[in-house]
Amino acid sequence: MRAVTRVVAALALAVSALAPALGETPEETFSRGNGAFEKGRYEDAAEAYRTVLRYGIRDSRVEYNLGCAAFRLGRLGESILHFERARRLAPTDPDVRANLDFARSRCFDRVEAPEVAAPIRMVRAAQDALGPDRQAGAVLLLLWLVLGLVVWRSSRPGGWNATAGWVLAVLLLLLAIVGSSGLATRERLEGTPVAVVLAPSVEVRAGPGESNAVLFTVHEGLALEVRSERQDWVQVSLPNGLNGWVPEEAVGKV
Amino acid sequence: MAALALAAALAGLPAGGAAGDIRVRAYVEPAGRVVDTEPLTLMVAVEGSDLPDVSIRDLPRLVNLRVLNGPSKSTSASFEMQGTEIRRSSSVTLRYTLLPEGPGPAEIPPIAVQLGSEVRRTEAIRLQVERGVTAPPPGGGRRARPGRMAEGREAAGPGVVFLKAETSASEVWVRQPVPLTVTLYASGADIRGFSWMGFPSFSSFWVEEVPGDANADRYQADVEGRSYNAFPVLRRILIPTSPGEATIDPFAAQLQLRRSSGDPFEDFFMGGGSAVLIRKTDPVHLRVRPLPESGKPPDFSGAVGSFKIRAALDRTDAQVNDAVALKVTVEGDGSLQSAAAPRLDAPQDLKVFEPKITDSVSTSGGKLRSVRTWEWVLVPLAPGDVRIPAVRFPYFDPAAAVYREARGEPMLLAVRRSDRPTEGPVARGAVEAQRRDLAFIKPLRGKLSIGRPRLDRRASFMALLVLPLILSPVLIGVRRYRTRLSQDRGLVRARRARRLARKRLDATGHRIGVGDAAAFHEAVARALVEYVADRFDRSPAGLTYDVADELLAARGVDLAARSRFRSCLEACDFARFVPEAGTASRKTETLKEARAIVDLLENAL
Repeated sequence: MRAVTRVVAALALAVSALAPALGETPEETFSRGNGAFEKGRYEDAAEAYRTVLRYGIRDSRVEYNLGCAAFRLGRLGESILHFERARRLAPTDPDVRANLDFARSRCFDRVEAPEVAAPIRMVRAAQDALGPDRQAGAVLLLLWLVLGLVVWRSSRPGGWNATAGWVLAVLLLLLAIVGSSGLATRERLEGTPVAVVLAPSVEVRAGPGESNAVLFTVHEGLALEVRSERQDWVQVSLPNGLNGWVPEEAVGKV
Repeated sequence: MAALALAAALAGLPAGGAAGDIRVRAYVEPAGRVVDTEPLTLMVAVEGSDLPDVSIRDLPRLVNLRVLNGPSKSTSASFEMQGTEIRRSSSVTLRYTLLPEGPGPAEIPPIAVQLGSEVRRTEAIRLQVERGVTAPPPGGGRRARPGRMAEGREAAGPGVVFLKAETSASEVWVRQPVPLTVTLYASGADIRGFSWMGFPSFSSFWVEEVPGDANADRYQADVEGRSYNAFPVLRRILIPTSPGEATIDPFAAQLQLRRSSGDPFEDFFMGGGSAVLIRKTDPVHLRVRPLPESGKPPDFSGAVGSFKIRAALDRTDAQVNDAVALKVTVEGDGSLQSAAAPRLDAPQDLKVFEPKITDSVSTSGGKLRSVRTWEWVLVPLAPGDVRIPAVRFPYFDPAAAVYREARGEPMLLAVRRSDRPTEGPVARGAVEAQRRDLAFIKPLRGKLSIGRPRLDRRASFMALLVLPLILSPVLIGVRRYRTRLSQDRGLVRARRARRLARKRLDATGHRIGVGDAAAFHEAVARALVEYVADRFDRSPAGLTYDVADELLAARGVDLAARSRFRSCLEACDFARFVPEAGTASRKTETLKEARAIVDLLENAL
């Protein structure tokens, strides 16, 4: 995975190095897209942002702006897809979250998700506000504090006393909480692959093929959990337990 | 086919194990042919000379029979003279009216009869039920099956009566309304009473009642060449809720018919007799087709029929924050039971509240007429002309088998600034959003990222995570070692001996050209002795050359080195007392030799 990332990064660097020769850097293309957006030329803006993405850029601002342009063009599914991608890149960005919520509110489908208890909602809100990177940084800091304390007290002639023991216990507790919270946040953001419906409506079938019975219909913008893939079909499920297969071209994977 | 009433064979048998002269028996009437359209009477008779209190707590579970009414209790007593004795006998009869549920075997299991504190059981009764008349009899006007009338309850003369249930179509779409009519056909029969006995459950339908008057709606009908009075006794509109084969179970009704006594005077003055019979309809089968998936609009919510839409604002101009009502009415022939609100693409300048829904359903001409109204309250948030696009309502037209869309007219609302005065010089209150919209695009600040992995996925993060685990034991070991060293004075002196000796010699070296030769050589000799004292953690005061030599020898320093050390010390002593030895070059040589000896001993030790 890391190797792939490096290859992509290298290619991106190569392309961005080549871009001036082609006439425009990714930054210039991005700015051109912003200019078109501000003038209401949303199609031009969207095309510029897509060009930037083709450079190999993975920047939340590009995904976010492309989501805005797609929304203005009435492409709700594409808009939600790019807002979701932006959220994965910048989970703590309030604009990304606000726009994603706003776009989702325009979806035709309303899927009842299982009720989440209020304390868990609060914890998730705090996790979203902190983001996985800050939580990972906090884990490192706490770990170093714990080990510093252990080294310091273990090498002293006096050894450990009650105060040091309590401090160590508190640090370990914090480390466990922040560590598990960080893992949970990462799992929530990246654990389950998600696809967004791009077509106005898609029939969800019992199996991967047109010959299978239609189980239900979903509409543009709905986020589906991807469970498996087979040839040109994707097995998806909804939070309410419904699941089935949809054609791959009808959805966009986040 | 001949009736099989096995009960008759059992009638009159005494109950097994009966004590005294009490007899308990059960039997049915009629004892002959039993059909599913006519009721039976179940009799439980208890006879004896001195009967206690007789009761039946519960009938057992009947097979293919159900209880219409009962029990009704009757008692009788008789007296008989036997010589000079008068013997009294009495009987108690409990009577139930039963109705066969359908053709086939039926059974009345043993009935527990409570006789005071004693319980007696009757014998089981088994019956074979035949199919009764549910349709016009074949053969036109002739009464084809006179035997179907219950014994003692003959139908009125040669009359023919039957019930028929029918739907207007045998194949419909899901949620397509279909009328159902149950008609009582009577020919040559004088019907005095009619009451329903059984209704189907309609589990897979929504049902709308159609009011009607059977007498007023009576009409003449010819069925298989015979003229009937047809009474539409029940009308419903059924709306199938799921696709598949649906069956409407039989309706059953009890009829009371006038029976001619044969005596015109009795018939005229006394009204004649009456007969009770039961009629059932045949089950009605309906094939319900699923709505086609092709062409289904995304916002289709299940309306099936033919509909029109009307949309209107209660006014066309308003002020900011005024409440404006938008009323959308969908009406037509068909079902709107599952219809969701039409799609309202309200502009963002309007705050839209949840609609109020009112429904009206009526039936006329065998059709279901549905009207559903959604009334939204709209609040304009900004001045200007607000255009409300046409409201659209998709539905399925079962006649053409296609999806259609009813579409209203676009509306225009002119919104002016509010001229209402605010309270006080400054309007106070919570700031509320007038509308929601997308947050604006992000500008370019700095370079675009090619996508750095998340912190917890970077190699540096893993290194920083693992490093303390490796470093901590090392650091603990090092710190402990250093602590131990700092607590061992002899070791500390020994480790610092060479450094101190060099410092002392360097300090002495700075005085080569300025001090006298005696002091210089004394300082060199002291530096060497103090080096040995430090190395062996001894006091330099009592450290003679011999003692120093012994110490060095004890630690394995070879003789050459020891001799060199001693020679240097003796040379220094000599120079202290011989002034000509204190030339600068000589001092330098001595200092160099002293340094070399320190290095030599340090290596040897």
